[in-house]
Parts: sequence; structure tokens; C-alpha cells
Amino acid sequence: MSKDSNFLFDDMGPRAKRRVRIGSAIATLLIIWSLWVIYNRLESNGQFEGRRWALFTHHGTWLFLLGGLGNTMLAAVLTACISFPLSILMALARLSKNPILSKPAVAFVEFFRSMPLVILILFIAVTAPASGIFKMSGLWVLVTGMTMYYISVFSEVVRAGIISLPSGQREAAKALGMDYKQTMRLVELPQALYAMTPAIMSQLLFLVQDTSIGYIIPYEELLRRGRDIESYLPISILQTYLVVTLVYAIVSLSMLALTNRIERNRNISTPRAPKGTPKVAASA
Amino acid sequence: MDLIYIIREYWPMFARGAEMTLFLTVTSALLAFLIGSIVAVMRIGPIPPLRAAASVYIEIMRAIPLLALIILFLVALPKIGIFYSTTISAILTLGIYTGAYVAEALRAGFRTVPKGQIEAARALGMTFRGMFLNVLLPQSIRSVIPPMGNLLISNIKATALAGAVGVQEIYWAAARVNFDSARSIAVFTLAAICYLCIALPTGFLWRKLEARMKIVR
Repeated sequence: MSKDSNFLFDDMGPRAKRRVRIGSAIATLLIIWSLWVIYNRLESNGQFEGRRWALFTHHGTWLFLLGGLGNTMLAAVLTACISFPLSILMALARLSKNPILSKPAVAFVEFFRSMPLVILILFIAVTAPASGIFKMSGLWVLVTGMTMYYISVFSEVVRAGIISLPSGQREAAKALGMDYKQTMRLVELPQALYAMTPAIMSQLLFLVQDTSIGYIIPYEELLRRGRDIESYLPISILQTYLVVTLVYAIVSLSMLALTNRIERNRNISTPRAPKGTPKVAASA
Repeated sequence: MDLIYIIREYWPMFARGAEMTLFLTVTSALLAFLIGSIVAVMRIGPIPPLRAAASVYIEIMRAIPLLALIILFLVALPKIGIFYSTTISAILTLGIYTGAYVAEALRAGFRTVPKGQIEAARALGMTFRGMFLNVLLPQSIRSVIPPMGNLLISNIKATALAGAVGVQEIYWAAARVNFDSARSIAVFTLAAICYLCIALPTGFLWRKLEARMKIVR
């Protein structure tokens, strides 16, 4: 039994155990029955016929899909690498006491956070060629739109991290004679980012999943490649999208596993001091 | 100016779109809350198969992009002949997807109730049901209000994805009008304004609610 239920119940007596066994039996039957209904519905539709799955026996199909996955990851990595550093600046601007910095930052964050990402990306896709100044490939349309959105998302996370630090940290740094830049770089940001690692990881998961909007622009990412296959072989439409969804699930689940691992190890390890930290002799 | 022209010529489409967006948001949010509550109780309850089913459901929903799910339900299934009305499919899809996140938020909310309170309830001889309904639920409901607000806002934004596959809401209206009028900047600005007019007041009202219902410990 997992951790969080232990304190919800007492250890069960014989009667409760019997009830749980009966409940388990009924629940198992219900689950099997509903899976059976779904299976039957698809079977009677002929979805398990070999000819509908045949395309997945060719390695070319897999290469095509994996290429799509590569494009997905390319867009995700570019977005993360561009938006994350900018989001730190955005968070600092929003926390700044100077209204010339903080007001526009608030407006930027609130605007891009309340806007559906699809609208933003389609807006860029439609207006970028119309403005005629620059031509953008699907990749950069996707990355630009997602960067705008994720700057505001990550900056909120970073801001929450900085706010949640005990004020003693800032005061101690000040008392040591550090200026604003040193305090941020050496004291506040490292701790805020460390505290926010789980939140950042779960946003990264959303970031990878959001690249699927490339389907609309179109950008040749995984979901779009699924559509390419499906338009070539319409009888395998369900199979194609199921496989594509499965690939997304595998990628996401491995990211989730990584997140859980990081979270498990957090209690053991402490953050390493960033470079440039003055060395203090350990007191005996 | 283009924007005024678009508003004058096409406002009924945008109004219908906004109506559909609101309708989808509210119905799918209610459905998600219903699903989420049931799944959260399954997840913390004592019956092992139900716990397993709930956690598999939550993990799967967290692991796949919403657009992939929408395409599976609103494009792939209709093409093989399993078809419901587009609106109903959209509500079901959004509800099922968001339901998993609601379940996670509720479960996290149950954890915020200090363990001592549950032990105290048990020491007083409360049954599981009495403890759940009178101690755990009232407190955790209040602590999950902020994450629920975030889910509501993302649900508003998620309806736009349903628009991409033909549900006639704001995004769909914008894509249509854009095709029709070729004034893309004005059209998408108007669509953005429509979404902001829905999302920003919702966020504002929710923060009011949050402030009212906050647990002061």
C-alpha cells in the first residue's frame, strides 16, 4: 500500500479485509468488462485486421516517425534553451521596484499566459509571410510562439521560487556587503531554481507535448508525420494515431520517471555552490 | 481600420464562437471535476484494482499531448465510424483529459491536511466516511482552489485546440474569417481579444475567491 493511504485507515480487521476482497473482485470484473467492450467495438469494426497494421512492419514507417520525433525534440530543445534564460530576466524585471521594468513585464506575462498557444502560433504563421519582411520556416514559427508563451510560464515559476525564499537569505547577503547582482547570482537564484526544479520539470513536460501544435502550422513533427502517414494510408488512421500517441507517452513517461528520480534524490543531496562562491573554511 | 471592419462584418461568427468557447469550457470543466473527484477517491481508497486503474489513467493522460487525444477522438474515431456529435466528443475529450489533472490536484490537496487531524479524527472514533466528509474534504477543497483556477484557465485555452479540428468556437471562427477576408492581423487580434476577455476576468474572479477561501494557519 502506498505511503499516502497509510494514515487514512487503520490496519484492517478480518471483516474489512473481506469487504476489500469482494470490492476488488467486482472492480476487476468491471475493468475487464469495459476493456472487453472497447475491444469488441474495435474488433467488430475490423480494426485488428493485419492489413491495417501492416505498415508498421516496414522499418521505413518507423524511421519516418522517429524523424518526426527528432523534429519534436529539436523544437522543444530550442524553445527551452531560448525561453528559460529570458524567463529569468523577465522574472527579475517583474520583481524589480522600478515600474518602468515591472509594469511591462506584468503585462507581457499576463497577456501571453492567458492566450491559447494555438492562436499565438497561428497568428505568427499567418502574419509573418504577410508582413513580407522575413520568411519563417515552420520550425521557427513554432519556436517563436512557444518561446513567448514559455517565457511567461517559466518566469512565473522562477518568480514564485524567489518570493518563497526566506527573507533572511537576502538580508544576510546584504549584511555581507553583496550588491543586488551578487545577491541574485550567488544567493537567491541558485536556491530559487533548486527549489523550483520539480515545477520546471513538469512545465518542460508540457513544453514537449505542446510542440504537437506544429501539426497545425504545419511543421513536420511527430503528430504531423502521423497525419502524413494517415493521408497516404487512410485505412490505418486509428492505428497510426494510436502509435503516435504511444510514442508521445513513452517520451513523456520517461521524462516523468526522470522527474520522480530527481525529486527522490533531492532530500539527500544539497545544491552545489555556484562558481565564484568565496570558499569558506568548514568550521569544526 | 481593418479591426473595425472585421468586427462590423463578422461579429456574429465571433459571438457564436465565444458562446461555444464558454459552453465548452463550463461543461467540460464540470465533467472534469466529476471525473477527477471519482478518480481521486479511487486513487486513495482501499481497493487495489481501483487504485491501479486510477493511477494508470492519470499517468496516461499526463503523458499524451491534448492535441493528440483530440485528434484521436475527433478525427480518427469518426473516420472509422465511431461517431458522436463533434461538440459532445469535444466535451468528453476535454473532460477526460482535464479530469486526470483534477484528480492529481485533489490528491495533492488531501496531502495538505495535517496528518494529526486525521489521527485525531480516528482517535475520536470517526469512521472513514465521517473522517473523509467532515475533516479531510472541507479542508482540502479549500486548499485546491488555486490549482483548480489554473486548470480552469488552461481549460479555456484548451478549447482552442478543439477549434483546430472543427468545433465551431473562437479559434475556428477566426480561421474561417481569416480565409474569407484575408485580413489576418485584424482577425487574430480580435480572436486574441475574445480569449483575453474570457480568461482575464475568470482569473481575476478566481483570485477573489481564493482570497476569500484561503485557510489561515
